[in-house]
Amino acid sequence: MIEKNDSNTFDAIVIGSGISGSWAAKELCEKGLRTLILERGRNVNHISDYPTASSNPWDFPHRGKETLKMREENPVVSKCYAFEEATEHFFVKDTEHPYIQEKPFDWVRGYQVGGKSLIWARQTQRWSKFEFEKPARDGYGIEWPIGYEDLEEWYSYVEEFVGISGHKDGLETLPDSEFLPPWEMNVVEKEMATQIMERYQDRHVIIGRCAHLTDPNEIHKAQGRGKCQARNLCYRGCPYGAYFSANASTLPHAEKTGNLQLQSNAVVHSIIYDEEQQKAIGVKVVDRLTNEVRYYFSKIIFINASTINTNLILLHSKSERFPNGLGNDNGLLGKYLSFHNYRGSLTATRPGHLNSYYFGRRPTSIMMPNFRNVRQQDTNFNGGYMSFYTASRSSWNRTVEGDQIGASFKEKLSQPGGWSVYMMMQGETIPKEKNHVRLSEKATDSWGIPQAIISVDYDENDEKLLADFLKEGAAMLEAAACENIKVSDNYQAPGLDIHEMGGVRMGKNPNTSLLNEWNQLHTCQNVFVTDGACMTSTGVQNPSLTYMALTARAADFAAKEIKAGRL
Amino acid sequence: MMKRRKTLKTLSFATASGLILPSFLFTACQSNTFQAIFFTQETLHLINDIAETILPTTADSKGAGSINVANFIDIYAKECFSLEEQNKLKTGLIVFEENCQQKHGQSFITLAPLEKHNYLVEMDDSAMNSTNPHYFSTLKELVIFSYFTSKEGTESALRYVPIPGKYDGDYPFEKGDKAWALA
Repeated sequence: MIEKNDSNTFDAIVIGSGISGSWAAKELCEKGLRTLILERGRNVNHISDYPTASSNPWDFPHRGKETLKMREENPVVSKCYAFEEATEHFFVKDTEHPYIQEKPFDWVRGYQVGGKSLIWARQTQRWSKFEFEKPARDGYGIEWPIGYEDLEEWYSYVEEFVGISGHKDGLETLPDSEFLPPWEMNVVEKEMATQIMERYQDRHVIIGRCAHLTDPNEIHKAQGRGKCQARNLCYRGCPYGAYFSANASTLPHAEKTGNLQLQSNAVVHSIIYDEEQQKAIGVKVVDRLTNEVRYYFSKIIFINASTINTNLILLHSKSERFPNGLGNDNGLLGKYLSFHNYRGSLTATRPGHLNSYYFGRRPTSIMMPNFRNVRQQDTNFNGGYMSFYTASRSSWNRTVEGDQIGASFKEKLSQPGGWSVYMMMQGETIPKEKNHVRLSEKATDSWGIPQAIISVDYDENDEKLLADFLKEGAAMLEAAACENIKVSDNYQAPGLDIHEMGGVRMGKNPNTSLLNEWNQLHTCQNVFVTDGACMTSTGVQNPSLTYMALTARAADFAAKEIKAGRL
Repeated sequence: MMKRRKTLKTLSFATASGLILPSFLFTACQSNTFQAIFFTQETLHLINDIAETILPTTADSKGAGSINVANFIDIYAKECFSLEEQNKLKTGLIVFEENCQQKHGQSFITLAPLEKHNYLVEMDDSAMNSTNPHYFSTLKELVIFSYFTSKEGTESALRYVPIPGKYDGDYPFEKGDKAWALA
């Protein structure tokens, strides 16, 4: 074992520099802890490393489409909606990072400084008390060790820094954030909202909430971030820093404290557990480029490596005390992996309003908070779903009536057609023991670390929930005066939602969970997990905002515990 | 766009050989200095001619052939199409010319503008009525895609605002106004 010295010893180590890891680092640095961030990928500097941020459609050799080579090298990631010629540099190459799909699972990864915060969809809603209470209440999960009231102030805290646009809707099912001005609905979306709410008294239709600066405050300007320009080229990296990314926001902010050290190209091998001190003392790292092994030491460790990788690191951190992985006394590490059900969508046309159009490219859509099983289970399935819709007028990528060749055909394609509507779901899935990730006993990656075996599947509850959404979606579109309503099941594999959660879930009872109410491993309390791996259930909301709030809360607790001499 | 892409991806057809056109036709496309990597120069010329007939030059914008969309289609077919899709397109263009020879006794390129238009209208009708994905539908989709994502298509046939700066959900529209270039 390498000796501790000034250059390899820190107060805190954070594994992963994405949304939650960068938040952990920012908070710990601000509280005066010397913090090392370990990032397995390359460095990505804000703005200067966004090579396509201002390119025009015709600047790309294939106009943004994937080449055959890209698809062959990336059979999984090329299914992702955000993966294209303009963004491929922010996704891992599947061929370089193999994993084993015991059942189909599309694992989408962004290994770089900033992680997937560069390419996330940026939709942000708070959980309501119902998401925390429902799993235990309706008997489809264990009890959360915290409730909405524990997270409320931390939501506010991160929202003020991140910048969340939205409208104060005052809904119990989707509590308001600290909002910047909302985006607006277009004429058709607004009319549909009114019609849906008239028909369904218990359902709400609101403008989407997202991590975009619609009117930056001082706290955002101090980060060097500016107003969203409604370009909708976000996945390329934003030269205005208008949407929240680690690169534009939390990481440079942490750096300013003078307490941050960022080590890129550092693939974490395992956490080092000291049998005598009975705690984790550091991290073993393999250099991505040279395969050189290094050790870093610290008082506390935050694992924010993204859900599956966080699970893998813990599973691979074996010691005499923890032969089955760090903190894994109950054998549940890697289990109860869950995700979001995105299989259902609907399309429709909506007559009229041909004298209305819109200007600019809005980075959010219309949202409907969950209306299923809210106060009690009142359907034949567990959990709920959010619904999203947009109305737009497409032009050349549509079929037109009349001439199909020649000048009038060209003229028609140059003009917007009538209004069309797209509606989609984001459904809760039920955490189950059999849905899991484990280490391969044979296959390793380029750094000698066991590959993941992922075994996750849909179940009957998912099918029922999907059927309900498609039925209700069609009825709502009909109520909203839509025509040609078509429902669709894309049968996409779990994982493509990029909302994988769990495996290291929080809970009150060490026999049924891995983490306590402060995101500490029950049995190794100087290790914290605050990324998606910590989730006890999935909720119906886009999860990143909740990861940020959980992280800030846990970092605050950790810093206080260190100062009190308990960690 | 999803639907169009899906069509392009799911096309399947086997066997093909190069497309041979009378060499005198080559003189007509000498202004195109692009070095083809998939089609012959003659076929590029044919594709541009077809493209111009589908999306011709109009008062406000140049046509698809005038801006040489065949150059992009050449790269796209080579680097984005599967071998099956490539073969189907190449073979299709041979059939296209053979049909034209049978019907008109000459190459498509030498037809009068109205004859070209009528020939493509027929071709398009039979492609749309075909139960299997038709090569002409693929070609037409490629022409439309490459034109409306080109600089000319984006800036002249459509309205392009790279940096809108804001979103307005109630923006006035009058009949004949062009669509925005990016959705």
